[in-house]
Amino acid sequence: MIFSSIEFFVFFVVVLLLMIAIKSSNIKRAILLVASYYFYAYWDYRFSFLMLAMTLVNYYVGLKMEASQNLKSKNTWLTLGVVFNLAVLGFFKYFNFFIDSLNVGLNNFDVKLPLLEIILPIGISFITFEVMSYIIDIYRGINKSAKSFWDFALLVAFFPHLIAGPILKPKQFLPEIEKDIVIKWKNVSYGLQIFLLGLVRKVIIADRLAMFVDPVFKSPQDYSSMTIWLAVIAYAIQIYCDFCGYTDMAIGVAKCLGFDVPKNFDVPYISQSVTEFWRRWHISLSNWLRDYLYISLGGNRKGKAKQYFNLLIVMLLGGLWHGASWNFVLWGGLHGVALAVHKMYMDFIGKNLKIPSYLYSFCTWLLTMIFILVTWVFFRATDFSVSSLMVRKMFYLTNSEGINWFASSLTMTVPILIVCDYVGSQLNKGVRLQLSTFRGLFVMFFVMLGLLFLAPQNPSPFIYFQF
Amino acid sequence: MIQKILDRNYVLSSSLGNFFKNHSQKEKNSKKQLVFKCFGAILSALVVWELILENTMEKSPGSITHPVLGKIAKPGINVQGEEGFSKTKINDLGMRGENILPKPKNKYRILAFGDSYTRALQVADNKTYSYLLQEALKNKYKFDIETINAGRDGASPAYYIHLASFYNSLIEPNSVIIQVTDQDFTEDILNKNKEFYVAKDGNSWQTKKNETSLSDDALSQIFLVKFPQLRFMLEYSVLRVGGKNLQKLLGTKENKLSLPGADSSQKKKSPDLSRYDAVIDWTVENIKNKYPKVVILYLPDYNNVNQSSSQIENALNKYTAKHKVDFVNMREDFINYYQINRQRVHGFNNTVPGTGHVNEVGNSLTAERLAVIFETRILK
Repeated sequence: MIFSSIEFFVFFVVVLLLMIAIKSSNIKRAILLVASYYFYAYWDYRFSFLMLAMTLVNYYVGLKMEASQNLKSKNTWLTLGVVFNLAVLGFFKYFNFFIDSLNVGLNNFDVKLPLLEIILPIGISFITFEVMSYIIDIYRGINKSAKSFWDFALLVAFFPHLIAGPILKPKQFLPEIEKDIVIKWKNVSYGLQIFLLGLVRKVIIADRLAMFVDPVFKSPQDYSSMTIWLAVIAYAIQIYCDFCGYTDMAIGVAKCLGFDVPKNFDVPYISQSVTEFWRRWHISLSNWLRDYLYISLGGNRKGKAKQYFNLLIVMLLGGLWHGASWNFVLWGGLHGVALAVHKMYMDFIGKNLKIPSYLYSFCTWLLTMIFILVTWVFFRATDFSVSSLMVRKMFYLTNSEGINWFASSLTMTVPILIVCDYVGSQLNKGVRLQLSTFRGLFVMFFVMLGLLFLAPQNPSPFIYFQF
Repeated sequence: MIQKILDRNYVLSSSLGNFFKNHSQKEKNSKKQLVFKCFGAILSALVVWELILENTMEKSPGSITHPVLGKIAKPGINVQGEEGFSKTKINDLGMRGENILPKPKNKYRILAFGDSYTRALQVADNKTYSYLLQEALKNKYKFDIETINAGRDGASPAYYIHLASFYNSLIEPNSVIIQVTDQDFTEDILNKNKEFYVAKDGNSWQTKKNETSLSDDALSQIFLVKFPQLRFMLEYSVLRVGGKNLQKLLGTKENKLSLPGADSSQKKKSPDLSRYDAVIDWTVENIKNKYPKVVILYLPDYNNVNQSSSQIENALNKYTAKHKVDFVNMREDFINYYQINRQRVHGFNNTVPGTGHVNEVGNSLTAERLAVIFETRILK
């Protein structure tokens, strides 16, 4: 069940009406929990058992850690919890990847290890990070364990963010769950507007651009260098609108139900450095990597060289988190190097700079964008040979000839993207439509009808669902 | 127990009531006003979208029933293809372009028949192969040559054969181009759901008109059959575009909405391969007998442009030679052009290159080849 489907619309209306009709917060939480498990099981009912198992184990580990009197016992429980979570993630997501990589090495010895037929549970990476942050926070004393198992279960399974985040911080979100749940028209009206914004990003921008991006990435050898550049730019917009659109919808749905989910994007493509980009892109993942990986590795506390190295390691693992492929590792590695180089630059040169000129700002933006675009090639391409060919074609290192396809979808969607980002920033500032006025209702119905009329023939699945 | 249920219902209704009541009180609007505003807002949004769709992206302009030609595009309106960006006007006969005037004495008229590839709504009026051919011949011979684009979406040779006397008397062509594709023979010509089709008649074949054929579009079918009094609503773009998209969104299968009693399997059923030869032989012979100076133009579609010759193509080659009809096959031209220029002859900037209808390049190549045939075989 995806947010942009009729099934979800029906599901959500039923949940919302139940939440309005029922007074008891405990029953509301129970309804939300059941609805969340139903939402997850809609893909494959077996996934919900795995989620339940992860919830049970981590809740138990959290309780045990909190009850532990000494550090050693706490360490043991934390290690057990982390190993369990990583083992689940590793088995479902990376087992075949490692076997495949091993087989490449073993090829010389005529040995081939068999691959397992494993279904990747949807959103497993997000769930794993969420439960890990819960037990690590308890270990660090930042947070206490949930008041009840059901609250923790709802934190993990809460359907608006379940599949593709944002990764919620238990410290922030547990209090939201534990408080009284009240459905207010004000919130429903606001949530509806954010949801619609997300739907526009997804249906009108991302899905339309996918029609251009997919064929070019499928057979880049057929297309000219110019077209490949355009397709890469289109992909950059597509992935942003796809993921940000999903996040908007998640925030909107949560808001309707009376929950505040933090934003995950902040106009990332205006960044003037890779460091800034990661402050604006997938903010919940960046924060998670910083809080639970970078700081755990020592952060900036062990000297400059170690700090640069930590940045590289964090991004390498961040890349691998996205998917079991060397392309993702390379993508993460390139970002890690760029972060380290930028940090180095800021440490030695940048700190002496006065107020930067417009030209300097433009150059840093352009350089950042080129880097981001090139690295998206590795993120999107199916394998290394495709990404390598595309990068070579982009920089005219190989035959640049091919079909010149100046996809109109790109020129049509860019203005819509700018309007969406503007509307998004206005909504964040608290400016919203009054859905009791004619103007507010007109705009809402105009957008809703626009979604119906402008939806492309073949909707694409959400990109981040695979992670 | 009953008391409990009543209590529960009271709590439920009062909760719902409070939810909406609070809202309406805050906004100081009565429920009636809100409903009225909602209705007005929806209506206004629909009007604005109607204007936008009509002027930018309308894809199905509606149709009328012509006493002879059957269901044709509505005359006088501007239409736009789903692919490409061109717009064109529909004339009184449902063809693209201006109305056809009586033929002056010294005018040489070429009538171009075909399906959507000839109609070519995807390219501008001055980029269709029929227009480019006219201009090429005009420049070469310096006399009054006119090509008439009689392309019709979904048409097959059954249409041109069945309507030959109508076209000959009205348009008086000096020469005729019949554009065909594989699909004309594999899916359309024998399809009884089409408006004109070919059926077995003893040892020979005969064209027939299907008087009950209404529309290929399931939504329009529903309106036309179940609510004929509401058929005027099909005039509105918002209904047609929105209806189609809604059908898609709801995952409605075409079959579920097809006419009662219609045999949907017939549409998909491929005809017996052995029948191709006989039908093609009969088609070529009939076209030659019914029209003057015929050129048969074969356009490979994007799915098979890079493959070797199709069975239909081979049969066309064989029977055009047998009946001494000029035959133009664009396969090699399309492939050669791609190999030299790395540009596809199918597809547009708003579709996937290499897919869909023939683009400007393909139309231009076709016109060049036809011009050669006309210069060397027909006009010399």
